[in-house]
Amino acid sequence: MTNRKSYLFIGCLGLLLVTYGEILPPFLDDWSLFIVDSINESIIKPDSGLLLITSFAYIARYLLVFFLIYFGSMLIAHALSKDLDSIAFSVTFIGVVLLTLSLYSQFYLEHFSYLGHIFSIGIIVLLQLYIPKHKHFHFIFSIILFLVLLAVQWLHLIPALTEFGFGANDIAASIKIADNFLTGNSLFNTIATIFFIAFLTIAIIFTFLIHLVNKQTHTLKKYQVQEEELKETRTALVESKVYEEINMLVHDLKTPLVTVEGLISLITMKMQPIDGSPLYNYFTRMDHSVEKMKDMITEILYENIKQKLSVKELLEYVTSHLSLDEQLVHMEVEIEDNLPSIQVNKIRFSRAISNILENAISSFEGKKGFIHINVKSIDNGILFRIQDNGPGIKEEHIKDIWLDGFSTKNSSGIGLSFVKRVVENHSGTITVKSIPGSHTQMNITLPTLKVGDEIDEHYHINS
Amino acid sequence: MFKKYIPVIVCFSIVILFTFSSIGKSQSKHINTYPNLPAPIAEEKVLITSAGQATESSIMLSIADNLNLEADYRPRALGTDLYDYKSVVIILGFSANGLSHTNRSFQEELTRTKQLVKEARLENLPIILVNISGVFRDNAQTWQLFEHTAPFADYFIGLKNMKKTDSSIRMLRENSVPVTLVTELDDLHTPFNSVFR
Repeated sequence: MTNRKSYLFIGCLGLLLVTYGEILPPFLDDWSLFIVDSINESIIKPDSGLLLITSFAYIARYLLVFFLIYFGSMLIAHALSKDLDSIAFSVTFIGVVLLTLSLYSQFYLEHFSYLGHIFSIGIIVLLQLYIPKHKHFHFIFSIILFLVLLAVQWLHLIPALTEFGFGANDIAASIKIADNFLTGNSLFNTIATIFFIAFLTIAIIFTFLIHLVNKQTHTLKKYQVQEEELKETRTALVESKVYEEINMLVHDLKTPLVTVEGLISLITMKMQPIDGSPLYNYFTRMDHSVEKMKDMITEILYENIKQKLSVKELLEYVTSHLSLDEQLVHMEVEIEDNLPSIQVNKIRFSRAISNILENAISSFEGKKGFIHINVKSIDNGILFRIQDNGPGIKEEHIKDIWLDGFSTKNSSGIGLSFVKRVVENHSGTITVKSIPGSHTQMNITLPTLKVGDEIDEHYHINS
Repeated sequence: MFKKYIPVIVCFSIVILFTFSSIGKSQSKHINTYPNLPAPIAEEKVLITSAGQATESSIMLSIADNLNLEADYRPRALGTDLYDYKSVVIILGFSANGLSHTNRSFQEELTRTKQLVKEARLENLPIILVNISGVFRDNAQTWQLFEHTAPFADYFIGLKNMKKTDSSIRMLRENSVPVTLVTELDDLHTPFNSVFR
């Protein structure tokens, strides 16, 4: 829709320029009168210098008119073909220019040669193929168009080429006839040829340079993208290595734990403490702690291990690990009464909630703020709503925050992608709503336990 | 890849085709004409006027000045202005820009030219027709002006290198008008001088 509107605007602008070019000549009557009078004066005086100055005025007048017609035609062709790279654009441009020029010729009976214009169109269409089709296309095209039209206007003033059909228009003919009388055409054969070659060469060199610069920029961008990809791959490789090592380390913890567990039971057997005695209580607590550590290790190693847990228990575990010292953040936790239990991988799910909370805390950058955690039951599930009044997320970043490696704070950018992965692994969903400058709200939904679902996978695996 | 160059190739092919076809149109082949008039046919004072208001018409005034001829350049002269002159020089050449400054249409210019020629005939003033546009100006209006003035001319001076030379010469000879064709504009001095001296 936006594209359609912009093409409509380009087309209308082109039409306006072409119309302006078509109706401009009557407004330039004084200019034409000056040219005609100057040609007369240069013949009567006789003064070839004055004739040369007159030719500049002639070039300027026609350059102005034809620039409007050519540039307007290009805009119309752009709007019609919609693709600057297509052959349809070139063909439409040629068609529109020739149509507008034939109208111009009919209006003003100038008898200009179409040959010169077909030659101009050929050069312009050729050079535009090498103009990069980015946002500066119209500006670069206008410079090249200006130079080519300037060159071809001088071409029309080369008397030697009249025989071949160039420069048949009214004033060009008058200038060349006057030059024939004054210098036998030696002046304009030389000067006009030099100017034609000079301006055409400048147009070609300019196009060539623009093309080269564009190619270099393109290559540079390609290298930058490749470099970024390489950096990402390296980071991912390092991270996967780190995870691997952590996993191995956590796995290795199991062995000394088993030893500790064995030794505790051996000591218990040896010492045979009396039930209820302090020693018996110590051994029981040590045994429970070892069991707990074993569970934690299992949950870290196997993400599918889930346990039945109350929401309150989970959030207490999360908030106990959060460091809010030296922060001016006020955190409020609101849990609906009588919520059913949830079945989650405690370590991973807690980490996910912690990531969201840590992101919110860091967004305050030491300033005052509040974080509101609200948990309530919804249809077929439980909703965790975490809201903060931080600076929010920009609209253009919203769709990227879940991607691996995306970060606006030079961090690893794996925090939120981890959150999403964990939530989805628990058959849940996560959405974000953010109004920059106002607040950010993360909504996590988890399905509630159905009858028959309450199987602790932990026991499955351990059994 | 090659496809995008097709419009460019078509444009340049048209240019080459038209260029070669234009070469044959202008004729510079030898035609037997008078180098100049054997005896004068007109007297001074000369009215130099334009048929078509081409800017370059003032070239004839410059040549007349060089030859010390008593002449007035009045590009918009009417039939009623002839009372003061003993001969008329008409320079052919239609110019849209020249005409636009006279506030006259081409038809009005054609009528003015016809009346001027008619009045000159009535007053027995010799009419010298000059076409100095040559290959530079080739339009239907100039040819129309030539067709309406050539039958009444007493002498025609033109350029060798011009378009429709054959048709022009044929029409002039049918009307027994002596013709002189010159190579360069500078060569106009001799035949123009021979009209008066």
